[in-house]
Amino acid sequence: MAEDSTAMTLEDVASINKFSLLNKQRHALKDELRTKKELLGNMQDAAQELMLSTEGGCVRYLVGEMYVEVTPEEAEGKLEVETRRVEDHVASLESQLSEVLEAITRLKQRLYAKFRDTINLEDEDDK
Amino acid sequence: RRKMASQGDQPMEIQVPIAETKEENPKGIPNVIFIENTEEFVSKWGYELIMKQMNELYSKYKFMESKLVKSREVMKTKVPDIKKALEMVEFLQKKKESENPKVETNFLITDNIWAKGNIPNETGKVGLWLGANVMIEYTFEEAQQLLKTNLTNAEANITSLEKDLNFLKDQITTTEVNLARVHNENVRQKQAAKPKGNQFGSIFKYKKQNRGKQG
Repeated sequence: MAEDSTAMTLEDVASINKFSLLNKQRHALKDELRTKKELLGNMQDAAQELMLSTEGGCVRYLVGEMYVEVTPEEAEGKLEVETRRVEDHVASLESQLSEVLEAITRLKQRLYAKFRDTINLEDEDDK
Repeated sequence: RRKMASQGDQPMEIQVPIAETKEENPKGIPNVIFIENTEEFVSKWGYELIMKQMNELYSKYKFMESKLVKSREVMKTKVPDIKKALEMVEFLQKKKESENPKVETNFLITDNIWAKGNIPNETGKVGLWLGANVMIEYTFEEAQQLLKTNLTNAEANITSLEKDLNFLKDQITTTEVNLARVHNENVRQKQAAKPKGNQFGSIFKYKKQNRGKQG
């Protein structure tokens, strides 16, 4: 048992810390993406509903915390603008997430190469 | 032999060099020092003392982390509120500048109960709730300015808290690595120090001796 398989340098610890941080970011991004995608789905459903129901001259649109009565055209316009904003946000989140995933893969390769099975870098709820 | 007066009967405990405070550290949080040569470190300072102080440091880090997380969550809930207020002010302003400034709304009185309201929207002013039972009237421009400033501040606070949390996470992870390695080193030293001439030892010890290098 003379071999010390846990020989670790400062650089290794820095890599482990970086991995920990990246993993934290990954979770945060995944959670935010899930919420925003749900919101996007709701907005798209709302747009559909608007198109289908052309009764009456007023639609109640949520501004801040109250509903404001607007014409269907105004409502469609506002919805479109907001939908686009959320879509852009989702796109940016997705590109951030893919960058993080790439960095994680590279780090994993490096750490597994050095420590093989004395280190465990898997997450329980990895999809 | 003099005793340290302030500590009563206990002599002052030797401080194992496991952390250092650098100037640039956020909130004066100390940097944990990574123990590169565990064998030397444990032999020099002693397993018990190291683990005691390292665990104390670890608890402090975790406590600080939970405080910062709580602060960040509070800040995060403020952001959507400010954004909603901004949305409303901008909407009212736009409506006032259009041919029909009147706004008909349904607003929330309590859960699931909404009331109709008519906003004539002639004054060009809004009241902003500042907290502590204080509400102040502002023009649309003033209100937007104030709200935008608050929003920028809240977002800056969140960014700063995230930075502190990341720094803290690094210290925590490194401390965990230290704790594991010191513990392993202690196990290793205990195994190595086991008496070799014990013929009545267990089978395990017997096998270990046979695998050892010297007789």
